[in-house]
Amino acid sequence: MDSLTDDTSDYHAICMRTAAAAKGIGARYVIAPYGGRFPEPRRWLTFTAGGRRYYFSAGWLVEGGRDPWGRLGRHVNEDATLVVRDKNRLKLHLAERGFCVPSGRVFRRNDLAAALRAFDAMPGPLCVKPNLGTQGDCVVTSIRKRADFEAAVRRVAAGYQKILVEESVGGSLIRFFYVRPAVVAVKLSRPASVVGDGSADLIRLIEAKNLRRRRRSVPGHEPIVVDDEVRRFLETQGRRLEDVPAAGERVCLRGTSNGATGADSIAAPGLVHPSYAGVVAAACNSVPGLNVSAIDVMIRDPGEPAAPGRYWILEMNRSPGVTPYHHPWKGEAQNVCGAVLDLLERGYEPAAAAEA
Amino acid sequence: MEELTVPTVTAVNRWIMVHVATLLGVDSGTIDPAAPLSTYDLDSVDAIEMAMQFECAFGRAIHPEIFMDGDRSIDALAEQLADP
Repeated sequence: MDSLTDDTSDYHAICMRTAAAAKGIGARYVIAPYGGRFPEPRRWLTFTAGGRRYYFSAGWLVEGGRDPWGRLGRHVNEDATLVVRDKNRLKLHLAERGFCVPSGRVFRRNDLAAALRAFDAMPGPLCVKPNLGTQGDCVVTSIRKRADFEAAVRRVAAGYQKILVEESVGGSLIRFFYVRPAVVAVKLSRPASVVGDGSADLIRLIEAKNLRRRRRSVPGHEPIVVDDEVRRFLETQGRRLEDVPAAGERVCLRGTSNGATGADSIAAPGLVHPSYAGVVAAACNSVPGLNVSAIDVMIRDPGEPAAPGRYWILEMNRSPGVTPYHHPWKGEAQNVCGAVLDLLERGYEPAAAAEA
Repeated sequence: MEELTVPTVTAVNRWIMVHVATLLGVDSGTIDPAAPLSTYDLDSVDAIEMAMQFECAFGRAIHPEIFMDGDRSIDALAEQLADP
C-alpha cells in the first residue's frame, strides 16, 4: 500500500480525500504516531489548506506542528476539549445558556452506592452512559427496572471512571454537522430496526436486513448484532425475538443510534424544521474553540419549530465521523468534508493558547 | 508581568491534595499523599482540568498526562512539579 492508496478501514479519510481532490487539494497518506498517550503509529491523510498542514484519521483532524507538547499536531477543537468531552459539563454549559438538555447527574465509580441510589431518586425512564464514552459504548436507554439499571451502572463502572445517569428522552435522534459558525448538514440517526412483513419473526427480519446491508455495502453501516441489550430493549416494548411484527410495522431493536450499533443514517435536511439549525449553531458557537462537530439532538417532532421542551441536546462530538453524511443509507449525500475544507482554507479562529 | 516564584514542594503537595479532594467531593484530610494517584481514579478530563488550574495557580504549563501516571504518589508528583 503506498501513500496514495485508500484503505477502507478508514472510510472517513476516503471521504476527506475525495472532497479534497474535488477542490484541487492534493492529499496523501502517512504513517505516524499521534504521540502522548497514543504512541502507536496510525495512518493519517495529510494535506495543506489555507497555508497550513493538516492530518486526518478516523474523524480526528489536527493541525500539524502546533502542539506545545510535541505531538503530531493540535486538534482543531483543542480548546473545546474540556467542555465537549465531558458530557455532564457540556450539559451544564448549555443549560446555563438556555438550551434544553436532559436532566441528570454524574457519579464517580468509587462511590458506586450513590450511583445505584439514583434509581430511586430520579423519575424514570432513565438512561445510563459513561461520562466520557464514545460511539454508543455502554449506553443503555429507556431503563425502567432496577435490575436493568444496576446492570447498566456496573457495566459503565467496569470501564469508565464516571457514570452519567439522566432522564431518558424520546423522539427522533437528529445529528447536525457543524462547521463554525453554522450547521452544514443534517441527518436522522435511526436506531437499528426492522420492518415486519406479517410472516417473519424478528430473528429472520434481522438476518434479512443484514443480508441487504452486505449487498448494498453502504460504508459506515454495520450489521445488526443480536445481544443482551437487543433482548432487553425489546422486552421494554413487551416484545421477544420470536415475535412476528405486522406487515409495515417498524420495530426498534436498540435505544442508541450509532452506526457501530447497526443504526441507519438518513439524510434529513428537509425533515427537520429549519429553526433547529439556528438553535444548534448558537449552542456550538457558545463553546469557545469548537470549530467542527457533530451534535446529537433528540427532537420530539422534527417537523415542528424548535421550542423549549421539544428538544434535548445530548452531546457534541469532538472528532465527528463524516462517512454517514457522504454515504447515507437513504437520501442525498451531504458534502461535510467540503465544508470542513472551506473552513480550513479561510482559516478558523486561532486557539487562545496558540496565540501566546 | 508579575514575576512568579518557583513553588515549594509543600505548596504543590497541598495544592494537589486540595484539588483531588475537590474533584472527589471529599475532605482533603482523607487524601493520602503517599498513595498512588490511581487510588483516586481520575480520568482524562480531571487531568486536563488539573493542568489548567495548576497553570493558573503557579504560572507554569504542564502536560495533563502527568496526572494520569497512576503509579506515582502525590508526594512524588509534588517533588517533580516543584523542581522544573
